[in-house]
Amino acid sequence: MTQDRAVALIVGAIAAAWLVHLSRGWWSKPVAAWLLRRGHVSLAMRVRFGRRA
Amino acid sequence: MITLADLSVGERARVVEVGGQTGGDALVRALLEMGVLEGSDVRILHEAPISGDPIAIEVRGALIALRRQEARCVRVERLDQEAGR
Amino acid sequence: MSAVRDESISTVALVGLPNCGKTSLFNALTGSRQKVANYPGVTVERKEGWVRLGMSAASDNSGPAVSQLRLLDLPGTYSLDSRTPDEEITREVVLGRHAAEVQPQALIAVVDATNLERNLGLVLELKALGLPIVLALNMMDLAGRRGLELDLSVLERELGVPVIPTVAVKAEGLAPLLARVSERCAKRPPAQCPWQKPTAAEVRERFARVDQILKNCVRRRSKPAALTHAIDRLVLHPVWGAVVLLLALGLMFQAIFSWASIPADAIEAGVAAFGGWMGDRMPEGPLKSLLIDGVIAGVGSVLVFLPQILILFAFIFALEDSGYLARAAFLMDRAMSAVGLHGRAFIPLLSSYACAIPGIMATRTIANPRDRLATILVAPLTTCSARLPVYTLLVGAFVPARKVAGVLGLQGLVLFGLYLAGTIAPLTVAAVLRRTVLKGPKPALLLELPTYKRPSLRGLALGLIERTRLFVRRAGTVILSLSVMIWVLSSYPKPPADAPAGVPAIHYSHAGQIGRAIEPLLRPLGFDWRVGVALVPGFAAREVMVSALGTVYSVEQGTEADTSALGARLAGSWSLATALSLMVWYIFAPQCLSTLAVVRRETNSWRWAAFLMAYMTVLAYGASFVTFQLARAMGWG
Repeated sequence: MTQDRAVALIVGAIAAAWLVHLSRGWWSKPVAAWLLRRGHVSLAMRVRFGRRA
Repeated sequence: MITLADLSVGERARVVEVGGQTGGDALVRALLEMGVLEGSDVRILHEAPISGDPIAIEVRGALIALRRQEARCVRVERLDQEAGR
Repeated sequence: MSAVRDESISTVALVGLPNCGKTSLFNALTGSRQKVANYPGVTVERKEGWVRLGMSAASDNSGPAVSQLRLLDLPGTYSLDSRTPDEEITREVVLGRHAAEVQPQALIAVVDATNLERNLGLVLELKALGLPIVLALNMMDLAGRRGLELDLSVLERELGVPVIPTVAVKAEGLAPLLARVSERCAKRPPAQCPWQKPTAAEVRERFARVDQILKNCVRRRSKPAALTHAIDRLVLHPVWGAVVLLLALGLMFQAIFSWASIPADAIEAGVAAFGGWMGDRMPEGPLKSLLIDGVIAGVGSVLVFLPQILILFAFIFALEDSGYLARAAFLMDRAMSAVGLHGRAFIPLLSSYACAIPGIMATRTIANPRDRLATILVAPLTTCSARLPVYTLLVGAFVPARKVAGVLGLQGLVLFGLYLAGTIAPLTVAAVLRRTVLKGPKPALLLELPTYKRPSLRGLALGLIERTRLFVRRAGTVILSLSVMIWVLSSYPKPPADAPAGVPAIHYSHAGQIGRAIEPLLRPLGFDWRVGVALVPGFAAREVMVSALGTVYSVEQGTEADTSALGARLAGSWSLATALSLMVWYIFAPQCLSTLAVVRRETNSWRWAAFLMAYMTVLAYGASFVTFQLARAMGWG
């Protein structure tokens, strides 16, 4: 892998992580609800309330 | 009748009434819950430097700090007239 | 979303007055298996931990054995009739009304055995709710030493609640406590508990009942705390008390600046060595630049401050845990009131010298909302530890290492001046706020001064570990990504092939373009486009400013960013006026996204966070402008 591509990968990954974190308010509720319907209770709590659930 | 605010360091007194006009309802409830109740004995242990306000009183086994203005809604009667005081 | 939980893990809450040893008990029971919800991004503020129990069937074989307990350490409260937001959380959780927490299936009421007459009131209140409750009679050793003789079985009978004597700091009594608690855990979630604000008459009645109970079971009362009285005669003395306070604060700041330098230097050397090692192994290219100039330089310049933050935290913890901080609040109340703040505001403001974020959260102990808001809004003005990198850099580069009057170092003096400004500023702004935007009546003080106790080493260790964890996490996430972002913005686009020589590469990058775009705004302050480039990411986190400056200059030149080397470079490029202007800018400017996030969370609206950002920016611009123009007029431009 060239250095350029490595840089692009790293930067892209960081940007994606930030997007996920910032948009948490929008996706955590529906995702948690979906998990709950499938029966994954503790995972749903974790998604909804973070690691401290 | 004198109030808690009128006492000076070292004086002992007994609480006669908590309430009256100067205390809001919330303040009265807070005082009661901190142990400043009718019949409790209080003693002024300290006062803050320079201004003498707030004061620290000993009541029901604890040390409570309050401003003289808050102390004004606690009516007391002085105790122990020790010789020389 | 409803509160669904695992059947074999019951939630038990620890409730009690402040200073009853609740937290020591919590620590003893959970050890390191605890989590503290401290920083933004979490919806509920609480301390929770886990206790593992031995596997045993319930005594009546009625259901699954409770194998693990989830323990909540709720904020201390004098009664369910809460006065502060802290206490309200306790009430809401206990009553099952809190949105994001399940109702506890049992309560452990922690009572300070040396002060039964005050502690039992809350127990009676809690008992009236109908939840299963076990009383942990804590500090029994202390009570015994003070001569308390208590008939436990009578107390149990009178209260109607199991009573277990404990000594939390020595981990005594824990096993029987846990056994009784797990027995009594409700198998079904209890119905909503009824509760109403008590009237004054009901409160009086409650304490009358407490007195009656105690008369029946106390055979000999404990003597008052002689040691505390003796210490207080010094600490609360009209003259000596102030001296002690000044000495304590002086010692604290001295420790931060001199004791911390050894580990800080070690960290700095380690980071530089790591960067050098990595650089030797990699061929030239963008990845090497990203890793060394971006990541290592960026994160490393922040890690260096960990020792200082930990030392400050340790001091504040020791002061608070020992009981001294309440006395400091008492001594400072008059001064605080003069600027319209509460005596209790002293503690959050003091904590803000390490970091405004825990300081702002500590304002929960301030009952009055306007007081609390005023404290929250001025806390970021205190000289937090994140400002130190910039101050150290600039003072080291621009202030000659001379001695004033043969004794005081000029550099130290200037730094002290910056700290002084960072002390006067919040107090002044608070006074202004309380007279204008946040006008209102002054709330009651009513502060308990607890008996002195030795600060818990275990609590300190746990706290230090937690802070380190949080700090490293922030460095590894926010700071890391910001450093990478700065690097990207400063490295791309690259200069075209036909670029004239002598123009630095960064000029063509996005960062350069942004810097040049805002330059007209910054020129009256003495800043050029390069400072502008560094200020932009610096708005997200103060610490990043130094590495941003380093990146701006080093990426430009292609060398490593070393603080003193950077300082020398700045000394060569900037005038003294610019440096002073930047230092003053730093006193006021709102450059911490995390702080804004915490303010938003603690005030439940964006409005005040926006107000904070706005007023601080205006102050920063104005002060910086005045400083630069004055300095230029004095010939330092």
